[in-house]
Amino acid sequence: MIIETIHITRFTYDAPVVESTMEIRLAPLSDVHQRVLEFELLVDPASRTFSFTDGFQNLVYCCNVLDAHDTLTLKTRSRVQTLLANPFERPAHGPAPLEAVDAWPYLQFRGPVDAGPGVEQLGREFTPSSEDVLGSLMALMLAIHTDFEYQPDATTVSSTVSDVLQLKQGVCQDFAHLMIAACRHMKLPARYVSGYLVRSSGHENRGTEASHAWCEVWLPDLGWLGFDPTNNLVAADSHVRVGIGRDYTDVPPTRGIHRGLAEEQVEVSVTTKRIDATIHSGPVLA
Amino acid sequence: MAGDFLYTSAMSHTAGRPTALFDGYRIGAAFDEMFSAPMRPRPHYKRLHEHLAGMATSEFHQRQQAADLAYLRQGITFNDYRDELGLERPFPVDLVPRIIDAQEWSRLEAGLKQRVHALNLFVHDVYHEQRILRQSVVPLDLVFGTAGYRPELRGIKVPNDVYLHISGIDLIRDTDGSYTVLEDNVRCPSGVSYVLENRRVMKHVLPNVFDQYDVRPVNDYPQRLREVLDDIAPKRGREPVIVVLTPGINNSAYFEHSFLAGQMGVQLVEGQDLVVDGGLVHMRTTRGLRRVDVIYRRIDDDFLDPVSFRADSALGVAGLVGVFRLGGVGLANGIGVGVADNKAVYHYVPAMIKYYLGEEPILANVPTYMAGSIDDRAYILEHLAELVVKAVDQSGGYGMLIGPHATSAERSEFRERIRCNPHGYIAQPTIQLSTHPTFVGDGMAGRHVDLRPFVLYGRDITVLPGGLTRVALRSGSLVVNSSQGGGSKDTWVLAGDGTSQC
Repeated sequence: MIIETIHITRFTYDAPVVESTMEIRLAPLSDVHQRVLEFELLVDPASRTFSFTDGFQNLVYCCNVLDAHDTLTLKTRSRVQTLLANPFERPAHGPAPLEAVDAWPYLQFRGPVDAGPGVEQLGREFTPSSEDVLGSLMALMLAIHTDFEYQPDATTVSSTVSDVLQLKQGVCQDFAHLMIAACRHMKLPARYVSGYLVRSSGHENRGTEASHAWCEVWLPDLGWLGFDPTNNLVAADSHVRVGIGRDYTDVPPTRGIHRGLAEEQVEVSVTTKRIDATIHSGPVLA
Repeated sequence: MAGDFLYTSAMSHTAGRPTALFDGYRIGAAFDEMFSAPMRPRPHYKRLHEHLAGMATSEFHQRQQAADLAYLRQGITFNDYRDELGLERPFPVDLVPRIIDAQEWSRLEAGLKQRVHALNLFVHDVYHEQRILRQSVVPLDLVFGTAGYRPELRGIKVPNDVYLHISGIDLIRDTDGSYTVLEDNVRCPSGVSYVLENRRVMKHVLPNVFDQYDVRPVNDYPQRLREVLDDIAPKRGREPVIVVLTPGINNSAYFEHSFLAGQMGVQLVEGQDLVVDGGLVHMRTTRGLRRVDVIYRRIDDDFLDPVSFRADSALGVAGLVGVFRLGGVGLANGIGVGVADNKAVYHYVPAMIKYYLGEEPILANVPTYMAGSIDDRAYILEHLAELVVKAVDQSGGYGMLIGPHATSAERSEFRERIRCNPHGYIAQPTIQLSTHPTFVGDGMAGRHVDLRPFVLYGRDITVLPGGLTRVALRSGSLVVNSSQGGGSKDTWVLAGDGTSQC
């Protein structure tokens, strides 16, 4: 599947600011499951951008707008070929084992992924039998999908798992954090993925008009498998992965600072669409 | 410039019968640097002792006052963070120098090079292959759990794989005189400016004593530091632009920041003087922006870049971490090096030396109990009154309990803190630091000292001869940190064996 995404982020200030510096994590990643065919980033006002790879192997663009400005617009356009038609298919030579050192960051409670009594309960409820880890994770994902209401105004980008458990509402970021917390409680390495989801006909998917987020859990025979609790989907070729980290704080789409006192408003618009001619196979439903 | 405070000895001989400086000097249980037995100076101290013994107390007093005055006028001060007024206090120099003979120094030097070499390999390993963790030589939790570890820096490329360009290793001497490493300081160790200033003042105030020894010079340190910094500049066809980045005048080591910038002939800047654009760091000048190649940063990681680290920091440079990752600017020391000077990681430095270098450590560690391990914790809690407890992530004598000197209320507070956060604490036996004759106003008395040598890592590893001898000026005190009411001494490393005539 080839997916085109256009992602526009517009910052508006009620008074001019100077020296905006922004880290931008919006470039899709390339690996065995997806290939980036095209990517471009436009910054307005014009900026000399540069890029670097961060500690989690994410490609980060950085822009600086030194002169006074009252809007800053980032527009990215990407075309990504996704290859993971069947996420349950075992790779021919199973994944190399995940060593304790590499699993460690994805097993700790930190930042928004905190460990409260609610997490413990969730973890206990879905603790897998050794034969059917996958089944337990599917049940956990379904439980989050069913018991929590998708409600864009209930939480903020800095809400924690405890907040979400109390509110029983949230957005994709919150549900991803929640599932990560439950997995870590069960000692299953789990990590946060930001990205996009292309709308599939016949299904009402959340997160297709904004940046999306889900989580990946390490399974010894399958490797990192993506779970999207917002949509109760196992991630496959409808999901485009952009950033991977321990939680949202490692991969915010933008993170920046400027000089000058002004109120900031942010508008985001994302459009994703399939642009290849192949017959639509649809996401794998749980 | 020395002329206006240099008293001649003729002036001081007016008092009738001078009292001798060493009258009543007592050697305690600790190793005394100068005396092997009462009134029996060690060979390399003989001539110093003879000279001082012939001096009247009043004369020495006047010279000490001259030195104090010189320091005050020069603004050689240290800010005490615990002082609510933020007052600058003079960092007093004691005029009795500490002397290290050539043979002893060559062993110390070898031990320090070995240690810094291993620490640097450790930092590289932790941010790359993580071999030492995979092979369980150092526990994972200890490294990843420390605030000094920055996962953002995984995979970082730095010139020559050197991260620890400047380090200060604190050494003490146990009762038998053996040198032991107390602490590794590899983030922003301070104190080297005092080493240079102490030497300058000593030469002016006690020239006759100084001239009797062949003392290895220290004044080329700024030049050597400059060479190390030049070496980490991104490759370009002209002389690199270097700056010293200071948090500002309220920082305890501001004097040193401005001193080193001046001595190296480079700009002293604050975060707001620098700006990132197009993958490079620039300095604001009256003629517009000028590219900066190397930053000798004296700001902790947390405050270095408000985009990557603490967003509320006004001291740093937004976007600096990205430029550093890209190789657009050299930083000394590297980011994330705090992973190597954590007080719990310290315990594993001898193991690192064996692991990376296949050598036996030349310098020993102080025995350390890890509150994170159950057995050690039980021992610590039972023996709080005998131990020194230290918070793993703190430095400068803060967050520390000296069991034998603590009140029972202080001990219970620490007992509670250890219970709540065992991984945050370590404990060590109270070590009897060595003593050194120190002028106390009416003669000499033994005061506890330590030694912080400074190690530079450029193309090779070099050690500044001597280092900063810190002295606890209060009688019996074992805390020598400059932030805890200590003073310092000039430290002489002898070129020959110190017993022959020059």
